[in-house]
Amino acid sequence: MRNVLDWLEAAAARAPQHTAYDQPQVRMSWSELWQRAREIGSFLAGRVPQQCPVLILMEKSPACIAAMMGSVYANCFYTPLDSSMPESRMKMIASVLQPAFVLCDERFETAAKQLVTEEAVCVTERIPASVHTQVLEERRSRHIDDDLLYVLFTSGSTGVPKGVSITHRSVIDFIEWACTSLGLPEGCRFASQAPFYFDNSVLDIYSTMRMAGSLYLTRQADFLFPKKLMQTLEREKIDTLFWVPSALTALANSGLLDTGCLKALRRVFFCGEVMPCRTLNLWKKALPEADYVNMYGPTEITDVCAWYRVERDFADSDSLPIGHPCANTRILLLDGEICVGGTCLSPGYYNAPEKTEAAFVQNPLRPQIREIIYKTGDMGEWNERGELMFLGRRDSQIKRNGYRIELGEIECAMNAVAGVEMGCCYYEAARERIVAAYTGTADEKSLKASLKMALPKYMVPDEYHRREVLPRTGSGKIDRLQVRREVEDEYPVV
Amino acid sequence: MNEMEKLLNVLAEVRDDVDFASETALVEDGVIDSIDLTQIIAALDEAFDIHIQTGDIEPENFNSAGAMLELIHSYRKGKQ
Repeated sequence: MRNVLDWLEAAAARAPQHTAYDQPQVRMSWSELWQRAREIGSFLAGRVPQQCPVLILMEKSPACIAAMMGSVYANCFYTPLDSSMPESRMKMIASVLQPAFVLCDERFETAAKQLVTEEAVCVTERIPASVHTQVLEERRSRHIDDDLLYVLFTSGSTGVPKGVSITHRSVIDFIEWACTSLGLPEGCRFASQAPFYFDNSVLDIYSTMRMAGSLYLTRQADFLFPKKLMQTLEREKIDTLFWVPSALTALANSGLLDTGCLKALRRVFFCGEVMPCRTLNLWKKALPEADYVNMYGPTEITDVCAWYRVERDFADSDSLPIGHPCANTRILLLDGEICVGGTCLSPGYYNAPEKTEAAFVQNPLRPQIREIIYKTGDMGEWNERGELMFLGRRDSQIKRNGYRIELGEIECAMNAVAGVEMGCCYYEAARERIVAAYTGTADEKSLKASLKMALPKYMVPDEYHRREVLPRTGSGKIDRLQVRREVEDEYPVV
Repeated sequence: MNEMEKLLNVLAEVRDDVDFASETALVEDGVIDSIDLTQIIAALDEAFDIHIQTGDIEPENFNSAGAMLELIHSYRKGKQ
């Protein structure tokens, strides 16, 4: 097994008519996906060399997965982009990635043509239905498992997003581990929550492919409305969820979870942020027979590097372990920092050797041989049972609804706004608010408007405070903690 | 300032690029997303001194400014 397409071809052979990816009014079977992906692959192979980046600017849809797989058939790698992000950030990403081609939906055609030359843009729908078997075979024969499969962009503390590159081999190893260890049956049915530009989607997309199951692409609007979401899960007979804890918490807090609901649901997996035990207990009460698995991992190690199957009871106030390393994964604690190595490891940040060198380092405990580990920036400890516990961040990265955000990226964007002398922000976790403080002449409203043009919506601060001065630490950096104390003294949180 | 004007001002604070006065399928058409909705609910609670219950968080109640105003009125009539 060297290529994720082996799974696609096996599913298309084993369950050709079975639904692969679907959403209201749209359904694509395994054989349809296989066919369409080869058509797109043939089209791309006639236009770009192998192992080139293909940017995908499409709505979350079965057609988007066909575009991703089409890129792989051309032995290229794909980068799905959040189509709602501001144009300036798209351009920043394109300047790092240097995409050889952009596949897009019709409504994003104009935006796509701002990123690359017009000849390198194609509305996916317009790609003709023809397959060039010989070209595809030629590309396939050159493929090795170390070739890149995708690059996902994540927030960067210096203001420029980082492109985490991942190889076929890492995804193959991860998915084979996941399907076995999580006990996924043939034909399993997932309801997707993660956007395709977020790495939790890797498990959704590829474990359903591996098991010839299906992935229901839940409408984003359903997550706003618990009743609608419950109806969807019931109607679609969903048996597996892999969601960020905040989505599971929202459903638990709606009061709609009850014994007898969601009869088809067997597996509830979560990853992307800390799972509150209170949420877990609400789910366990309603669905005591389901499997609950807590997973942990940054994008740099292919979605998940540690896992914990819930096997004992926890009080609402307890912390849930992140457990044990996955197969072929090594986890070390160096000065309390969680460091990860193994097959899951990214070869680095795309087109950013300095950032790569800072985060992917030689294992100091193995000086005899080159062994690279990734420093996650997360702090951890082993508990008395030998389970890994997550303790928090060592820097200013935050998680909001599962999105990974560097406060530094927001501050860079603030500092670029005319009328801002110095910007600073912090996260108020209890109220889930990003609070910005700044000096300068800009008024709060125009600052917010400018930031909306520069940052994805989930990164735009909710609250703004213009200050006379911002306190600094001994080393001259802005003192975020002190800024927060001063703001909260003045505007007490009720 | 009447109630509708007040509501439109509150909504403009959340999203100044949306024409809340004329949109009728804010949720169905995906004009507002989950972050917007969370902010709208918090803003309505504060501005109109109500507490919108989970059971009322339905697409129909947020598809237009008119629907939101009706929801606000239902709380004003002593629903809570």
